[in-house]
Amino acid sequence: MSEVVNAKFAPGDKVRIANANPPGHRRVPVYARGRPGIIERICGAFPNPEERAYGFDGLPKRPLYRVRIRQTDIWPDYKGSDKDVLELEIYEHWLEKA
Amino acid sequence: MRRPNDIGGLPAGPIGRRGHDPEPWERLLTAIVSTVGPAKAKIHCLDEFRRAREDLEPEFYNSLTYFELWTHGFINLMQEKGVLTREEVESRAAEIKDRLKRTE
Repeated sequence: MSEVVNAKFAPGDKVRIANANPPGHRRVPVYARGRPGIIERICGAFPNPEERAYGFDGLPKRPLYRVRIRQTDIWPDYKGSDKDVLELEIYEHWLEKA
Repeated sequence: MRRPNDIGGLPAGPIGRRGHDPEPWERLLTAIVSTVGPAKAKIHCLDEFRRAREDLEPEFYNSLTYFELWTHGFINLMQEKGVLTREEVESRAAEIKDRLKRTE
């Protein structure tokens, strides 16, 4: 795993995925934006793919987290167990402290 | 902004789960995209290739199969990089079609 220097969040931290709507290539699906979650792990630090998508080097590397979100927080009409979760890998610049 | 690839949660019909073997041209395209890109020449990276597909007009995007999306995204990306033009691809494709027709 790529070493993470100065990660803003730690496993167990409560976060909210930014409710942003910028144009261009973005790595957070619309259904997840604005949703609350918990940091499940730090995956590493990687060049920012949202910059690499336009030919830039994406540096400095950005911390990437696995974020655990309750299905009932994503889908208002979710019919499964309220313990069901979805885990998405999300870069730090999309996350806010909750 | 929701791009045409980002359809999670939108109303949709059932998902067809039947597998199928790739066509020879789909295999060839996969090899070309990979060789020109990350595996060898590094003229593009996978993030750019994804972005190029997502840049297609939504109506056009939704009319294409998976590897047709690859084809059009790749042509646009190579044109953007100055490697080739869409006209070159189309005139070459027309030549090949013409030749096939004559040998039928």
